[in-house]
Amino acid sequence: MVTYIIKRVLYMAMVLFIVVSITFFMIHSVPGDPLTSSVMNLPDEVRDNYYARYGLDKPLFEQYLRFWKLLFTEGSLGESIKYPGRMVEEFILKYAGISARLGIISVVLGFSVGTVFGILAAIFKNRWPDYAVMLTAIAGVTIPVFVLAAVFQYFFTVKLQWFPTTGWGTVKHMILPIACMCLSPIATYARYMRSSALDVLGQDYILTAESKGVSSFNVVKRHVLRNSILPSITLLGPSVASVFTGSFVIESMFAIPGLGTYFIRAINERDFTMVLGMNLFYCLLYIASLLLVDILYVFIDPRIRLATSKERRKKAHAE
Amino acid sequence: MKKALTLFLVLAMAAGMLAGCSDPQNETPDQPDQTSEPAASDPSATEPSVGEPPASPDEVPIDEEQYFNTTLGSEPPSLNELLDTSTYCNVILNNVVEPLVRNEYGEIVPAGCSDYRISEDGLTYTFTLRENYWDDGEPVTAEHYAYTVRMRLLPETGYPYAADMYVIKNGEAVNKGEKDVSELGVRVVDERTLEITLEYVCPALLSTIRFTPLRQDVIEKWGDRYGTEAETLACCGPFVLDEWVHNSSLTLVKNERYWDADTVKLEKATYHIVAEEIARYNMLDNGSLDTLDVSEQDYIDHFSSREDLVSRKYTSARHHTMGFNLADEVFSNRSIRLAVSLAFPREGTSSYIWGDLTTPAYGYLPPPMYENNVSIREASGDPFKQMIADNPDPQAVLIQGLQELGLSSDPADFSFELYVSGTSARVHTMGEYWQQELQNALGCTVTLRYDDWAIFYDNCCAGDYQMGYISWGSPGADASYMFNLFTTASGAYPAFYNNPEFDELALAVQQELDPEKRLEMFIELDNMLVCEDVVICPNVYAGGINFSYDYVNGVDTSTFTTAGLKYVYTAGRES
Repeated sequence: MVTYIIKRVLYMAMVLFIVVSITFFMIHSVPGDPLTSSVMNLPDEVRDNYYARYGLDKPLFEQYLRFWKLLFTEGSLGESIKYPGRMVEEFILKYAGISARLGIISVVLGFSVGTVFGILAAIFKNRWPDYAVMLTAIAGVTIPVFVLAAVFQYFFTVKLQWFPTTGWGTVKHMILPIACMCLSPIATYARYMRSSALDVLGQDYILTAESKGVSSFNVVKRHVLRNSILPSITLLGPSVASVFTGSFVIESMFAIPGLGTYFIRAINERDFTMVLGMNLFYCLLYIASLLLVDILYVFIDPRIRLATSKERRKKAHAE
Repeated sequence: MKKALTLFLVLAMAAGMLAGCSDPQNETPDQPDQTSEPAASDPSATEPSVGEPPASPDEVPIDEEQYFNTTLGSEPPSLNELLDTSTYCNVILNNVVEPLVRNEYGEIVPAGCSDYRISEDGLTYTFTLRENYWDDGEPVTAEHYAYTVRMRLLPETGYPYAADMYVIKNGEAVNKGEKDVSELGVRVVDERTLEITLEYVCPALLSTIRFTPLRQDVIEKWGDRYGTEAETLACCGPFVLDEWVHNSSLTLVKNERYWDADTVKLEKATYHIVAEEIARYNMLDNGSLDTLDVSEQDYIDHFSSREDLVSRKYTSARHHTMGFNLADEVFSNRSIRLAVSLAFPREGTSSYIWGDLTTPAYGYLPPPMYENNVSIREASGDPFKQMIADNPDPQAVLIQGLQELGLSSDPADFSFELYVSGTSARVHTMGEYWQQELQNALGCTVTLRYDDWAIFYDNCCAGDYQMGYISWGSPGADASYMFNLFTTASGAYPAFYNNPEFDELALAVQQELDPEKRLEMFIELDNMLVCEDVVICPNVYAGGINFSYDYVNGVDTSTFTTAGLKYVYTAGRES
């Protein structure tokens, strides 16, 4: 297992290097630069002075090397071009936390509520709890989040005036964004959970357990839940990564100072350093969470072994 | 039920717009959120002509609690004016620093200086400063104003608008590194006296360049972090920046040390940064905002029906032009350009696309640009209307142009490309509408191409287009900026226009002191672009509608105001 993890981490570093390199050359090959997207057609001297300040006057490969050098010697991702005087890592440290707070709550809520709903639906198949859950699930998957946000905002802040319309700081500010953000995960997890739980419920060992006289709560807890939760865990990995980068739509709708808005704007405005730094961060989170999920498998399902085929063959040989 | 259905439809439409992966570009008639556009006009100041001076607060029962909530189109990248020249930065700086003079209610009035003298040759300006203080108690001195001018022109600063400062004596040489900064035409006579010497006569100096003070010691203390947080900014204006929640809000509080603090009534002002249009409408609806520009027709109807909201329609100093590439093989021909311009559906664009919030254009300069206290647009009339009257059949003009070029004189054999900036749903509707109308009127084929502004502008500058949708606003009150865009030297507007007569006149008007003559010259320049040389096809002048609660008073609504919120107060707000 340890060798496996070390190996995976090494692969991760490689993937990161490749992704960042590709991003670097791609974003520089897109027409337009940070200057054309705001002011433009300046006298050559002024333009040169501006480029020199951000090191954009150097050959592309030199800029590329400079990026890595800065990262390894100073641990910095560089200065944002569009937000002069602010470092990219500063944005990530400051705003990923805000996005994460919202995101983690909605993923945890979505996962737990979704799982419970899914199991309930499976147990009460074709009875009203099942229909209610599936109706919620269809709504959650089909209603786009920005429509939901607009409806919630209109009814709860304009009509009822229970919550502030936008802003950030108190618990009251968080309720509506979280409500909008967790509906879709609830729906997704409920649907996955329902189908896998139905699968498990039809297995012989459930019948055995029931005939042994195990209480139905314990059947669900010890057999159904554990055996049917794997597909949901697989989904959890990618959604954890997206938590930190924030939901762009929700953040712009409720004026939440998270990372999402910056990420989108950086691309539109050709803020090279910002795009690169955020992409590195996003990529790191994504592959790290995939690894985490793989490790989680082992704890949930002891049948799963994390080892390469070579090791397994060796082990088999030894036995 | 009906109401619920309407709401659902509105939301569905909004959803459609979002799904079209819209960038903010061209979503609103006036595009105040536009960051990726040239010199977007001030979003808080996109109003017509001259606003009403504030009624004296003593005559109406003024509210005890004075606060104000408004919006800012986008997060200011930085509040260090040497690094950021965005509209959003300027909106905030107007409130927290004191420039030498301000543009209030359409007039240039002394602000940081108590008065100024201009030498007889028009080349030397002497400013006498008022007694004013920074928020840390330090007095504001002439050195602080001089430091800003020097920093803007030092090549190391990389100030994007350095070229505007070339009017200062030796400004260009210093910026190019040919002369030392000590030779710059700015001199500190004593603590309270500043002298600025110009390279050439410039009647529009004070309305185009904002002379603001900067603290060298504070900038050196914070380095690159100056102006990135509320704590790292030095303030000396009517307000002080109290809190800055990035990408969410900026809160200003009254500056008790300000020289004119008695005039300032607001105790607290908040600029909310809300990217989502619908969220902003909801905020106005429940009173979280006191004023807002609205562009969605359903919401305009809704807010118009409310009795406690006051609406105000305005025209901005911005023209959504259609530009021709004069270097293109076909569009180098004047008759072809004229034919397209004659056939262009400007009335329909204004009413169908913009819901009558914009004005159909029959000239180049947008209406709220003044010279000698008259609107240049009004003085020159609508020159292109005469062209339309003289040439009732655009297709005949097109055929004439095709013959001149030696091409097939059948319009059906002719095709050209219309290049549109923006990728939003509204922009697509616009492009398709123009395509349809132009094809019907001219009998030729029109193809469409869309791109984001950055890519669009790059391609246009490289000459890779035939006819393009290019929107351009004036950042200042002086009209010469709008014409300078077309000179061979500047070429900022990628028309590839090369007319020595135009270049000469555009340069001359910048240095002409007689306002009567300037007015005539502006009219002549406008006429050259639209009628004589048909460099652009007039489309619509941008505009919008603003809704404010009736208790809001003292807002300077003039187009180029730099008054900020200095005179704003509320009277009769329900608490």
